[in-house]
Amino acid sequence: METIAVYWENRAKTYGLQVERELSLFQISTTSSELAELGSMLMNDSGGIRFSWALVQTSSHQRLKISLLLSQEWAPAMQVLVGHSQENGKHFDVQIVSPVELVYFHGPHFGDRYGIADTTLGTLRRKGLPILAAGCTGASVYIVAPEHYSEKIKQTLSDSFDTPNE
Amino acid sequence: MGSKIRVDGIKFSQELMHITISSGPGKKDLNTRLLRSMAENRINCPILFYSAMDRCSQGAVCITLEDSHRLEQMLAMNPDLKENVQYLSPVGAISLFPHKFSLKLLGCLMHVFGKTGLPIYGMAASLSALTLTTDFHMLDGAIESLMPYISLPPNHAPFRPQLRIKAI
Repeated sequence: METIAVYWENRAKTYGLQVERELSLFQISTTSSELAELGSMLMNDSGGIRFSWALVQTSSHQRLKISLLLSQEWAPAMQVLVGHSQENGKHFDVQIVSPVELVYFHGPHFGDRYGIADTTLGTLRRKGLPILAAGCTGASVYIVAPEHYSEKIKQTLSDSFDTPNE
Repeated sequence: MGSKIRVDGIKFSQELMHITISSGPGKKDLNTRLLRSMAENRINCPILFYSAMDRCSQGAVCITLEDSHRLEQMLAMNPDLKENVQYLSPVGAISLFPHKFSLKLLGCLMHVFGKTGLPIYGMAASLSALTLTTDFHMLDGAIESLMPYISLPPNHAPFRPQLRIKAI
């Protein structure tokens, strides 16, 4: 059965723009063959470490780039975990960028509508605002930015999206 | 292997096309142009993965197969975009709920996909789910490989979508 409903917004609505600061971005590059061991380490030895956001991408050299965004309080534990693996002969390339900031938001049916990614990333790039990483899945949009940029990003996105009054 | 990781639900996407666009040092980042053109042509990207570090950017979007014809028409009008994109199709997405911001479920996915040789084209967290893209025809096999590590409630929702929403 097909149902057609007509709905129009001048600007897409969100449930509010959220900001997290004092985060560390771990970028771990690994081969597909090492992925099982890295996964096993995270599954069994990560204890209570919580991520704020995560992204995995394939790179052009058949490597996987795993970006883990952690609160700075978890960063030392993560460094120890990765360090132990490297001592045991694993060759994960790790790059840490810290501190970084996160802006994220959710909106109704974002995953079903065209233009949300362009309104977000396109607007920020056209304004010259730096983005270290970003992802859209489901009804969520996540943007990782260098320190001190989250407020500018939030202000810029507030001009492009409808956000609840604070 | 320790106790199983509790997962309350798993959702499969419909068939998708995965489009990658990369820019090296000194090259213009074409991801923004791709997104703008897609919006102008009313092509939704339900999934986007993007990173930009060390003057290199890498982006990937997924679109539904029914939008792929319009994407090809769009790229035919944008030759510089067309020569910088790579396609994979059909791709499918698996979303697992909830991740509880724990590295255990993320690590489990990486371990199982690495061990079985199943491809991961991209993965990102949202508010409650981890969404991973792989070959569409391997979705059922992926769940079979995950089952020794995860537990699902007996009354979990169907994996395949029963309702589709499309903006026109």
